Amino acid sequence: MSLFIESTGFGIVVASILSIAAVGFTLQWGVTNILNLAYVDFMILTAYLDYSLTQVAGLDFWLSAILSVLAVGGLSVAFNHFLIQPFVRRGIKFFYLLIIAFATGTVLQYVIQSIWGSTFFNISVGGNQSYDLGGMLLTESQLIIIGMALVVMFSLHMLLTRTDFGRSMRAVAINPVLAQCSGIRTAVVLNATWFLTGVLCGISGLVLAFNTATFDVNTGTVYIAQILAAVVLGGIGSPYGAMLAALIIGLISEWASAFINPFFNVVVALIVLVGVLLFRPEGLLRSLTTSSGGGTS
Amino acid sequence: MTAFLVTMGIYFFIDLILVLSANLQLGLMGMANLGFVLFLGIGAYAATVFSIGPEPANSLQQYFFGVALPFPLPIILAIVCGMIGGLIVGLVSLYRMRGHYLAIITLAILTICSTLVEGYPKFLGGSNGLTGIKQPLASLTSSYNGYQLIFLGLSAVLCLAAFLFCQRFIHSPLGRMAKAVRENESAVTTLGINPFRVRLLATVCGGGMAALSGALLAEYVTAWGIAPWSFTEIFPATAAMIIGGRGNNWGVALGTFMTYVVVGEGLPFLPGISADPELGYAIQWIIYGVALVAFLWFRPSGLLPERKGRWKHAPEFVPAMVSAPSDLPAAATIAEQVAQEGVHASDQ
Amino acid sequence: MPVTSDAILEADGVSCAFGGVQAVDHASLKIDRGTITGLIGPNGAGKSTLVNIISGHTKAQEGKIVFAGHETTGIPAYQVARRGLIRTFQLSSEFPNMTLLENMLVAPRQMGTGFWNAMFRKSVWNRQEYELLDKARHLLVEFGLYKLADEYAGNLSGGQKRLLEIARALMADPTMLVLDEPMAGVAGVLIDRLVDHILELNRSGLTFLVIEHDLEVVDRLCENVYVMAQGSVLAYGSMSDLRQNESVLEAYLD
Repeated sequence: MSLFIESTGFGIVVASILSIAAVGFTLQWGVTNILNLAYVDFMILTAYLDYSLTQVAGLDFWLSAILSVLAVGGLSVAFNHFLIQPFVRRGIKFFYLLIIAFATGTVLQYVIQSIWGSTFFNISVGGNQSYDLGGMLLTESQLIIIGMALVVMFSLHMLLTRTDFGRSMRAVAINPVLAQCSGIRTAVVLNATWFLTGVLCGISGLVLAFNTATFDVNTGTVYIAQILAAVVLGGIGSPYGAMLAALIIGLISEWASAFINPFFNVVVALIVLVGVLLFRPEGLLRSLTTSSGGGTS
Repeated sequence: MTAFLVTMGIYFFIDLILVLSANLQLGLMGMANLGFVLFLGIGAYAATVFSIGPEPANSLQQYFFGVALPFPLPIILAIVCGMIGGLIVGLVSLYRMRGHYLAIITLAILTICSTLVEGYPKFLGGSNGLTGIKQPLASLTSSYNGYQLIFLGLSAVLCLAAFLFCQRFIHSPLGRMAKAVRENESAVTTLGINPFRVRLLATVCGGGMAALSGALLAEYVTAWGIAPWSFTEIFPATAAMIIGGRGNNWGVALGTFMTYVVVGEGLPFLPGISADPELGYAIQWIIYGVALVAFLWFRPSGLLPERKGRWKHAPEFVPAMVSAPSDLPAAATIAEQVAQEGVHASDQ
Repeated sequence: MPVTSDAILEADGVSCAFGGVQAVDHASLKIDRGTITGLIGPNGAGKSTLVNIISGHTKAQEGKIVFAGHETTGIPAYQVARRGLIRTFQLSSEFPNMTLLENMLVAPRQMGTGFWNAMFRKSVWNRQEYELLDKARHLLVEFGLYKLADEYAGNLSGGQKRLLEIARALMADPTMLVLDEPMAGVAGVLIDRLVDHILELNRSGLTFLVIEHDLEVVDRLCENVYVMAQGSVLAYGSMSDLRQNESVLEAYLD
């Protein structure tokens, strides 16, 4: 029983990281109709940048964190603006866009490796002091991570519902042509969305690295499975669906990992993914948009 | 030097079989079966398990089952396993999945399999992999160089067989039907064609071929693990297909040569790179990525684009054999029709 | 001697709803063999949905479809097509990266499409290939498209694509053709060509059901016309009769 409660605690941590990552990913997919397979590589790039800024340049912890997140946000916009949108305007087949994103991710991995080498690195937040919360043993670091996730989720909710930008984003996601006709500058909204989701990607990369003892270029690669599972389960384009799905998947993964096999956290997420695709591809919650990418005709 | 060329040749033939299988699924059929390297893995493990014999009591490696079958059985069984794999994956995903969803589900199945192998070391060696794979036809010669040539011949013959298979597939009415399914799935159903059957067929054949490639690779290197059929291996195969010309087998051969051989094997020889293999590796992948994007931008059909259908030996066409002249307009000859059509063809 | 025309297609009480909207509401129609029947109605009347149900592309929730004496309700689209009912779509559905001849040769039932035959028995299907090629070339000549036989179908003009679609459908030896807005996007001269072709084909026995907005074309082509509005069949008769029909006029004006 104690194992169950303990793993539930870990599940919440995993869910926190996953929710930030999944929300960014699902918004990218919902608003731009891109399945961005390079996402996890941008995530891990943030961790590397943070490492260099703190350890090499000696900057303050939070300053480096903010700078590296903003940098990745900017890179995401550049990725969309200079690589993806030109091809989209040309009317390229979605499949080739997928390959381009995949290629970008792989190339990014190797660029990182050639700059930083292939050794393992470590970045962390808070201390290792453990707190016992009703049977769940969480370190200070993990509690900070959960806190960050809550703050991010709340801010995002405010952004989506209370600001003009949030409304524009939802409009563009549902019907880009109509949005443009009603005066929304679609190109600006798209770039802003990529910046926002790039920031989310960056934050999730940082917290992933914080929660992993040591990280290298491949840490993110398997993570894409859980992100996809959360995104598809929650409904493509639905940030609230992604948050809920992240919680479900985070918990199930950790329970499976504790009780069946440590590798099973990935397998469980994937089985959920395959199951949802086969039986309920629209996910748990209705998505922001109907253009969920590559359906028949 | 010759030894190096022989090795390059072997890798070329093995990789070409894989890219041909990708071409059948992604190029000809236009399916987003991104997880096709799974079949490479299936073939390699099958060839291993059917040739190394039962697990020795005191060895370091573990696997669940093994027999020592002589050549060519491991290769044949590997192909069969690949086809079964293709059948299962196809049945699960092809009926309703398209586009992004098909890509994700095939990638998910690929990752499930590699994670299961890694998570259960007793199954197929886990992340340590399996070694000591028996080489086919090893008994023919005891010289190292002699054996390299034998393997070169073996892989060349099998590659040629795969190539001819793909040529026949693509240039037959079945291939034409496959292209039509790719071009417009709903139109094809109005003509009485069942798209699912064609897709499944292409996946089964693709699975068998990729498995052949994996079997040869495992038997050449005599060791196998998880890395050779991981995510990243999808990329060079797809790049080779797109750069060379998707849908065109000769294009695929050219593309495989350019990516795997010229860049893959040739790059380490450049000065500055031979000193730092890691840098060389990184540059190689950067070249693949840049070349891919460049081709998709400037020449998406590839170096050798898909060819138009041609009937070289068809009997000569004599239009005068058309139905009763009273039903036709007066200009019954081709020349006059063409002259007339010159006007209509410019209608917009 | 009166010709007893039998019904080749019957739709009986067909209904279908999507996400709360009743697209087709207990619609019934009956098409006699050898006729050209029109299907008209304002936008959103459910014409395309009904045709989708008839061709098997959409599943009806209620009702029955009978084609050539056999029930086809719920049968997948490709099987309906094999029984002889071929339809075209509103948007041209040529195979763009294939030549016109290749487009034509996809349509007929042929021997080289089974795996075993395709791979190992080339001599068998090769002969049939030349026969089909000949037939395709003749059809292209008839439709005035022979000059473009080796062009990619995607490079044709809108009207030429329409002609190609009908020629291609003919390669499959249909007993009935359902055309969904065949004149949409076609320029004036080619409309006449298309109309002539349809009339000609009908004279040799092919039954037609044509959805059209261009009422002049409907007038030239169709003996009788069904009018649909809001998912159900409103009226049936010749164009001149319908022009006097109050409810029809109302439906169009609404």
